[in-house]
Amino acid sequence: MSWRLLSKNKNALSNKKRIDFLSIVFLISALIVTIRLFDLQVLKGGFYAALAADQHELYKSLFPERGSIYCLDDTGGEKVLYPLVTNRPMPSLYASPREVEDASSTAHQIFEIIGFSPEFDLKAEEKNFLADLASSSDQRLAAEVAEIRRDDFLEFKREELINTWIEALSDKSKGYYPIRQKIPEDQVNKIKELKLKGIGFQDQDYRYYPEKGLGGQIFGFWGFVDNDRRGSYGLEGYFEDVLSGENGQIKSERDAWGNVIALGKSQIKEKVDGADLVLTINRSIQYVACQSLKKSIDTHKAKSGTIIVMDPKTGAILAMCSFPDYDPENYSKVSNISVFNNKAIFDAWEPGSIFKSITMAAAINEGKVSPDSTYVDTGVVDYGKYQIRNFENKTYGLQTMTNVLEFSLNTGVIHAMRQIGTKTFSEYVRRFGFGQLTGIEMSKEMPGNISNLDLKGEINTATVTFGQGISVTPIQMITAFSAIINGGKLMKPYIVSQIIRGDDVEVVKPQEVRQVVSAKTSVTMKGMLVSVVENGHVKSAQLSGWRVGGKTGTAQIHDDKGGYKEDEIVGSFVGFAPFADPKVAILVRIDEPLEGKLGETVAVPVFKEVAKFALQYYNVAHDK
Amino acid sequence: MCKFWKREKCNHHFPELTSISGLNKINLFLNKKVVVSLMGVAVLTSGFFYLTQTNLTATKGYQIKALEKELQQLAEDNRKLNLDYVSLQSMDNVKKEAENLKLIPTTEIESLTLGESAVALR
Repeated sequence: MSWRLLSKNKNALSNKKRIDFLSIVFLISALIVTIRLFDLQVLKGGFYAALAADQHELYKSLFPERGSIYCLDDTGGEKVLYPLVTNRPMPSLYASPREVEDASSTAHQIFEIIGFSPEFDLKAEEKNFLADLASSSDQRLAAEVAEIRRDDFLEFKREELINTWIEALSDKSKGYYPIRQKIPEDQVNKIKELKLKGIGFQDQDYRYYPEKGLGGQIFGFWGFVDNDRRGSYGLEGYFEDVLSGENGQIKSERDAWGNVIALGKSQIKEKVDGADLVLTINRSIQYVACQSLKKSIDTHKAKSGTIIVMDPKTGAILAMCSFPDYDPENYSKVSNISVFNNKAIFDAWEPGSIFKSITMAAAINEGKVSPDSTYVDTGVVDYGKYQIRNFENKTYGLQTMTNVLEFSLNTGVIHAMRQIGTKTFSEYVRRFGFGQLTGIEMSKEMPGNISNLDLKGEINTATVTFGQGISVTPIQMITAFSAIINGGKLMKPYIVSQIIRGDDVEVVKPQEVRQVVSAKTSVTMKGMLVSVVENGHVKSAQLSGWRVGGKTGTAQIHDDKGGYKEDEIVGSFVGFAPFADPKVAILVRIDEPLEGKLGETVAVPVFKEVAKFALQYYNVAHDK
Repeated sequence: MCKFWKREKCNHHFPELTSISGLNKINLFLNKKVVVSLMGVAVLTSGFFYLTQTNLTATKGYQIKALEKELQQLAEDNRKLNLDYVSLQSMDNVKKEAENLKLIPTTEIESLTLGESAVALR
């Protein structure tokens, strides 16, 4: 064999090895590329899809939608969800200063369209710069000066605002500058027509309330806390964690300049939208309750008022309304923040005579008195230097326990309490839930104050028997009253009937707290309370067609000196209907009416209107 | 002369026999060429298909993206219409419409009470 052939063979062998080597290299490279592509496209596809998506989509993929709050509308047998609080996207105007070409022209053109912020209150500002003109003797001259000052002020404010924008739009280091939120659609279109460079819109969700004026204090509001948005007060505050959901996250590696490294380690965590709430509120009853309460407050020139309508068997809140209320859509315009508190669960008051029903239920349940038990009313109960008298200092002589409720006798409930003793009476007050939170699912509930029951001396307990020297919240009062008429069970009041998380529906069931009085006592008390309306001093509460039971209260208001105010009262009525199987229990409270100084005058008409509507709404058969 | 010339395996005296082995090599070489050519064609075809598919996918991707945007827009329009729909169902609106239609509230509702005797079809 010649050396040439040998060399040729060696070369062929060497070439073959090279080809084999290269094939392996290519194969491994292809394998690596395939694995990496699988990793990028399949395993981390979501992350890069999110990065590649536009700003709007990125926002939507990371920020959860806040849950809505619904009620159930009964449309002839079929129950349909109706949103009481939901989200509405509204465009926000922003600038990308790096892309803005002419900051000054852009700022001026934008101002011509959107003008001042809706929060800008010229009248409030006028109080400052026109204050000295109020005392001017020359009104004509004052008006002319005011006009000039107003124009000057507006021009000054205009320049100030535009200069702020120019400064921000000229700062090329900024990638984003928010100009204004909630831009109306016509203004959006006008700005879009200008085709300004570096100016854009981004939709942002805001709370929307299709039913206006329907109990803002129940809902609370969703507002800004620093740069974050949080629910405050009412349901928004209580269910903040449930309604808000969970933010999504993009985690990625960045290079030394802060840019995302495309092939670095990265992952995306999907957002979780907030859960929806379904309320026990009946929209129709709520509307009538709010309207009727407002009408009474206006008619009697009252300071404020509250109404609660409850299903006494379950503790479900069918309606809850207070005035003054506020519009949660414009919560920032509220001047007195105390209006954010829901009076129905927050504002404790001395309930007055409606508390007599509690005292009587306790005494009857202990078997110490019956509806026909008698006592002699002398018109006064003497406690040394203090005397407790009946309303208007009247004396009634021999009276039954039913008469005590019918004519609202202070001396009579003290007699009933004495039959069971102060200790037992105090236990009943606690067992009815006073002095403690009911646990209703709304922010800022208060427990009231029953500390007088712990003081020595019978007089401190005696005043409590007719609702003085004790403070209770309306929700505590209606819950305790419901226990009297529902067979003796204290139910936990609740306003949320369902929590909907996607396809998972959590149904909230009624909860019995405890049996406070027996079923027999409950029936007896119902009869006595019906007698109050049919034979007592509150015949005006009667409804045509249904037997109604209830008790009025006309409570005095504490002053700062430890006594009671002369002319200011809180008128209230707590009642139920129909007698046999109560469908609704209603508490109405009207604070400090200037006209009509009795619970019967100010609160009973509201009760009647709402009770009648509710009974008709539920098709409750007549029982008389 | 080789004493084994008649034997088949002794071919170093018959170069033509050696050339037969060369022929095999040529065939083998030709076969390799064919295989490489076929592989080249396959790679080119695959590349062509890959490019075509990538192009098609990209085009489809853009179409899908446009449709997704349209879907998103429709969903937002639908959401706005739903909000208008529920607003029109609000109690205030219903009350206004009832007044426009000259409806009046029911003041008294009478319930019919059946007699005590039972009623049945014959």
